[in-house]
Amino acid sequence: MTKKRKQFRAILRKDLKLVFTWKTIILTIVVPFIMMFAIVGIPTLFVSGSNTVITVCNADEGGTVTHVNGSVYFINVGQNVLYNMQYYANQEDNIKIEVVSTRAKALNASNGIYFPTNFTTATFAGESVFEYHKTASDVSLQGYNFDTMLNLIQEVVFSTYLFFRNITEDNIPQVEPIQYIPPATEPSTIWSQETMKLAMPFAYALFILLSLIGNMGRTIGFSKEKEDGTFETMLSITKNRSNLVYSKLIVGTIASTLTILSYFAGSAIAGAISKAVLGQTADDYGATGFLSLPFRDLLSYKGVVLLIGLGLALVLTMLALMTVDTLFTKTVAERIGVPVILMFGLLFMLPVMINPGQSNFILVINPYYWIYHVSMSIADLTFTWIDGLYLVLSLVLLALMVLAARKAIEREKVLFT
Amino acid sequence: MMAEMNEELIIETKDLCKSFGQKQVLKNVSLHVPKGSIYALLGPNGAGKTTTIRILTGIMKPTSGEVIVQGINVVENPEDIRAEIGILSQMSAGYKDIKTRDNILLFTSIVGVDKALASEKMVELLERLEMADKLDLNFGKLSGGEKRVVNLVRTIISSGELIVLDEPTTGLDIARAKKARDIIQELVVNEGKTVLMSSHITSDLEDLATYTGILKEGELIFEGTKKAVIKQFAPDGNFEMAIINAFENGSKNFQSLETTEDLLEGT
Repeated sequence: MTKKRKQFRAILRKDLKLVFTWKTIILTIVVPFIMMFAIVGIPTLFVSGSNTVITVCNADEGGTVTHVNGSVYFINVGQNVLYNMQYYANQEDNIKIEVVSTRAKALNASNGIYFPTNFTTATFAGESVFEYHKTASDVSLQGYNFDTMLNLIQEVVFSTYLFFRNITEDNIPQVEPIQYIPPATEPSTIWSQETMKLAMPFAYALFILLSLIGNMGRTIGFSKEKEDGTFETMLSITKNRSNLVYSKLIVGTIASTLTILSYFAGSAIAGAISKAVLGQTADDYGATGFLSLPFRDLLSYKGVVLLIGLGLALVLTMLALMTVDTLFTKTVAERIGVPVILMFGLLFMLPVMINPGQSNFILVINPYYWIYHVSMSIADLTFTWIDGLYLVLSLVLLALMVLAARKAIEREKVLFT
Repeated sequence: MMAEMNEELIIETKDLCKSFGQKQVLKNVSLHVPKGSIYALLGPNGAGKTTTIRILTGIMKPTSGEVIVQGINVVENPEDIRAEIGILSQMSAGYKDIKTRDNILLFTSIVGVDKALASEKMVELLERLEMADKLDLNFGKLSGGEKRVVNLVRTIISSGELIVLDEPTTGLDIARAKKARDIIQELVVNEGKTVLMSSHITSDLEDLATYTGILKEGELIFEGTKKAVIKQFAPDGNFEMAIINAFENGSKNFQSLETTEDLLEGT
């Protein structure tokens, strides 16, 4: 038993030695650092975004309003707001206003606004109310554009009011945007807006890291042992072959952690430099999250929880690659293992990017979504039964992967792959 | 046959069979490797030599049969034999991106050899094989023959009582191959180790082998001393002729030397 434990330490030392070769350091630490440095630094100079479509329904019937000079006007505040929104959108390349005829059409759209029939009369009664439905994250450019529109509505309402009335301390008009939450089994915003700010960095970071992990697997995994011809030697001298799996797992976790840290360090340093040089960062353009990562948040409780979540996702990925490595030939492993993992990563990232709070069939069968969901809920302190289920599923999958990798390495076929 | 001999056996197999699907690769192979000998396992390509070696070293399980190595039942407890014997596989294995020195020491530490002792032996052996200057070069920078030498040195340092060498001198130049053979010989003569080796290079076998086992199409068609091989397969020729004849015409039925005296002739 002691000899086996001693042997495990020697195997671990060997695997650690393999991680700290120049080639591996470049792949696991330098590349993510440079990648994030470039991703955060360059967009500071060239910020752009995809189109934001805002669907608007104006049901305002208007009304007559008496000016402070005694003149009476018929006015439609909703129409006035809509004109201003369209004017603003015409000045911006990436905002489009779509006018629809019903409340349902507006509020069922991804990003919609509805002005009720009494919008004008309510405005001059001092209690203006309108509804909106927002699925774009606060941390996305779409979310930023939508919020700009909400501010614009309030500005137009105020200026219209001011045109007709004097404002006194007792006569300050209220404009109340009411967020519409569509009925669903799972609400569209599961977590608080503060927590949601970390959703996109998580999704984006995970995808970037998954795209790097294929290379990492080839450098420190069993593929590397097969390529170097050391696999058979290791099998012949290792008393407990499971130790080969555990050692690679530990080293893979260490390498993944270093990759994550260098990834965030790259983004943080680039952000700091761009702030110092240009006086503004991508964050100042409202492009937080997608293009930059909130470094200050990473050091908080929520940030640490998400980092652990990312680490867990990477460990799971390493294990999956190791199992595929041992079950199949090196070529098959590279042709199947990495693309399948990237596909899962992409199927997780794209829906989350569009709406970080959504849930659908494609997502609920994706282990990366399970980990994301659990991490976000723990960060948000809103752990529910569904998170419990996802946590159990993640841990069961992890255990199954360890078992599969252990079984795979004991198989005789492993010698011929 | 050799089981009748009064020598202590370090490897003994009984009716060893191995199949991969429908294909039977080993057919009732009963090997007897005496302790302190150099046993050459020969056979044409695809005869089952590597499979036999993999089974003996606990890498692979047989379909049926018994395998006892150093008193350990390898079929029942394969993990007990792993790391106990030095194994040189056909492939020149090594991590390309790390130094030759580290390549040797990492493997020897996994087997449990003391680092200082391993370093001392490593330098001594590589000096004899004129490769001490390559210790700080990355393994990937070495030539094919040099990689083979590094593997041989690593195997020798890692070995206990038994060393298994699959094609030990393939790729080595004549001078280095001679030195490698001398080192292998010394392991047996000076240190009392046992060497089981397979090779296609007859000069290796002629110089080194005390016993020979010939595999053909998965069957052990002959087992005996070098002189016994010649007597059996080329009475008027030499060792190389005998091996060629055995490969081409040998069969289990061809075997006629049954007595211990015949088998031990020339030892």
